[in-house]
Amino acid sequence: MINSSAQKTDAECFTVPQHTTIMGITMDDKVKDLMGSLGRGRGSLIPLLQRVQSEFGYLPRETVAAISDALVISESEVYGVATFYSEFKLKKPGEHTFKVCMGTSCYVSGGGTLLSQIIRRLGVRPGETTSDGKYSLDAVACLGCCSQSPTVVLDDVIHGNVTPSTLESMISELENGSEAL
Amino acid sequence: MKLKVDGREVEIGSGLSVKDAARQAGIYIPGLCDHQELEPYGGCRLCLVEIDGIRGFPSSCTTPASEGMVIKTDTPALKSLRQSILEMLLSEHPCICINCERKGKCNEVREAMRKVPQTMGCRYCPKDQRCELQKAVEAIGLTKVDLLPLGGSKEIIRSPFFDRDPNLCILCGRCIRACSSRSQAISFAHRGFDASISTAFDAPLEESGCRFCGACVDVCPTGALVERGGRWAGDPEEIVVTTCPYCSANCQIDLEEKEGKLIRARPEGSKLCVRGRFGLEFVHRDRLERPLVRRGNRLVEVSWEEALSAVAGGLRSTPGEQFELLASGVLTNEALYSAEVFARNTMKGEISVTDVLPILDPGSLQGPILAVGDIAETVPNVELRLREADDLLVISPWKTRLAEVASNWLSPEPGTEVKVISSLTAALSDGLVEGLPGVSAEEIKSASEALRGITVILSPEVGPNVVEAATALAEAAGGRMVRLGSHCNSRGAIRLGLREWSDRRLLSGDLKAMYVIGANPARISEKIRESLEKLSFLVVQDLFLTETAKMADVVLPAASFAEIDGTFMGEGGCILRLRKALRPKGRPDWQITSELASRMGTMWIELTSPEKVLDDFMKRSAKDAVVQEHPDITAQTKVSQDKPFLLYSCPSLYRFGTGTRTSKVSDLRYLEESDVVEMNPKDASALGISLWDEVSVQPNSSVSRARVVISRKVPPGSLRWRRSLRKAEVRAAKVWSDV
Repeated sequence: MINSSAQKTDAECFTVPQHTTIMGITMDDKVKDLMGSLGRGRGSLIPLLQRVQSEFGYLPRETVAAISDALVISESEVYGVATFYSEFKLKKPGEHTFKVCMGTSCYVSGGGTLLSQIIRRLGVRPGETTSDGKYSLDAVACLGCCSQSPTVVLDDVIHGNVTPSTLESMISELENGSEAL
Repeated sequence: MKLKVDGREVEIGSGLSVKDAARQAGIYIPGLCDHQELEPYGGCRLCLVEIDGIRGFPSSCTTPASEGMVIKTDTPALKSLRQSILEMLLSEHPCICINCERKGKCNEVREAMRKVPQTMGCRYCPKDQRCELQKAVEAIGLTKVDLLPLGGSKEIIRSPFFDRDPNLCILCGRCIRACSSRSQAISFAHRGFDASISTAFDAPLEESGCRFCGACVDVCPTGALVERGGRWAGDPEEIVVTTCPYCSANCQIDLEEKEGKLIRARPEGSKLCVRGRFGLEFVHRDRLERPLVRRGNRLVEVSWEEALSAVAGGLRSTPGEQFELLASGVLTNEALYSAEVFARNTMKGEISVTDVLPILDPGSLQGPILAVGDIAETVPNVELRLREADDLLVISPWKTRLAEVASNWLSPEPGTEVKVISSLTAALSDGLVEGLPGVSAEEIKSASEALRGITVILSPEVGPNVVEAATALAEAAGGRMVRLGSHCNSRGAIRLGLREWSDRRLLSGDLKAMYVIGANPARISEKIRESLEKLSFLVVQDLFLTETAKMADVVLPAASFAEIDGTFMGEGGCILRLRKALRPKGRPDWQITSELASRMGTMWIELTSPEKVLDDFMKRSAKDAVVQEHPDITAQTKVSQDKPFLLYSCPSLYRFGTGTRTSKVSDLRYLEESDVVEMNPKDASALGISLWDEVSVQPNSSVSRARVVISRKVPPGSLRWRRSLRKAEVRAAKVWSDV
């Protein structure tokens, strides 16, 4: 008999049950709402994925089915596009997201050190989120701020000329801030 | 147009690619992503050529051939390009056998090597000798791979019928393209070294809309996708073209035989569905080989001689009016004809057939088409043909696969399809238009405007009211109505003028003796089972010891479709051949009944060979078949938490007829393991139900359990209920009433 449990490893990461409602609205309605004037078909896929992601911060699993239904594109293809671009996230990001630039300029001026500092300090690997859901870490390609390298983006704010000590103070500020709350 | 390939002049038709032109010139260009049945793709870059006047190295599969082209397919530059591309390709594919100086000498130890769980090189691969990558390596002349090997540690993905080994996958995308016109279950996912072919969220195929047609397996150039049955069997000894023994689409199949076993079935010039591709292993499962005769409570193996005299003895004293022969619609023309002669002339009794439908054939599907019913589940190949129709109207409360691709889909409330068809007729003939629940007046009006000369195609499971309404519509629109048959030889049964079986005589106790060929009525209902038990004499002629056979006085083992020469009646009355591929386990059906007829002394036609039987069969004129009543398929019911739903039973691709044969195929049984209800996501979230949750379904007085599949195919407030095979067995074993 077939043992399908072994294949579910990746799927199990997605804790949200399929087809849930958020505030009483089904995902189908929500996605249709976000679709706005976008037409059916492949051309609308990336704009719609972007809209859904900016709404939820990531692409919840059930939205993929809803997008597939709304655009008449197979679910596997939507998943394929969403996994191809690192811009799209299928897992819920942490409360705070660090993006460390690994572009040439940042890398040579110490980006790699900053990255390993975050990995060590927060116990999270690039592309992952801490188990308490607080921090996510991404290693990204050039952010276009080479003059201020090395750069780190924390929650969409770009910090230039980052040193291990300024990074440490950013982290402890976050930690203390959350304790104060 | 004329062009030159490697100095050879070729003349070809228009619309062909450079690769096609080379093929016509008898020149082989390697290529791994291109496949004759798929759109050209230009992904593997192995079919690069040089064309005078065109810069660079265009891929020959995607470049259209044009007048006067001068093409070179084999230059040193091309050779070195191809070699390095292939080398990179092989750095991610097990290739130790390419470098091995003793390759080809390891055949003596191959059996042991194949016990290795992972494919490390060609000699460990199920596709060895059949692999297109091997052919490309040979053609391109690659003798070593200097690049560092990568990968090789990905988990093999197991699914029903076939496995996917991502370590052998070269990402040519053939399987995705093959799937794109069918289930669209797979796609490329991730990027770079992590790129893979996967379902959405890497879910198992059975949860991703895959219908297991095996088209992906058929086009895979490497050992990445291989059917599990016959995995290590290698090349067949013999390939026999025959006809699929399931539905009325009558697909042609290549049966691959080796050492007396059916190792594989592949499509022959047509597309197959899961039944024809993977559902034939029943020919080797639980087969009866020797006749059985009842001695007290037991069925005892006896010789053919003894069994046939037992049948003759048991039936001789039975008056004709108390005898009925029930034959299956999957029997050959020969078997049906011989059974008919036996029943009507020898026994002076009646003969009827399971599921005879007055079929009309789809023929050429031109002009507007209206499809009613879930054809994808009943006659899958016709559904594939309909998907390509330009002007397709679908009337279905469910979002069936056809509804998804139709140019117009009317979705009335379940159970009101008849009303929609009737209002279309009214709109067409009287110009009267009124709206219905789920379908507005405007929708009816605009749909009715495109109906002239329409072909109405009905799936076998639709009820008699739909048939009547559809006939009226076809007449009003000046078109025709096509009713698809359910069984592969429904047409042959109609040609013989056989009636569809009704359980009335059996249930009322009018029958004393019955002769059942290839059917399993005990599975249909408990009542039928009890009535069969009361018969004073029951003969069953079947492949297996079915539920019905277990109650029989004599059981005669029949030969399966793969073990006989015979014919089915195909579309338009053409004769389709069954060809013998395997040594028979039982005897051909026609032979048994004609032998019995001559034994009982009333043989009036000499039936000596299948050709003779067919000849007689063809001489018979067709009688008008009678439209039979079908049981109403709808019933109102309740689901857990007392939310009322409309419950509809629906046909299933993975079960055929009573499911006797399909239940012998382990993976088909797995796919039908539990009862399933399909529920709309809105209902599911309102009830807090998620995928595979168990619910109670109460269609009448009895309650049964089913697992929930959340599906956008069903509208809110309705459920589609797929009953499992196992439940049918339970029902027959009297456990049903205790549930």
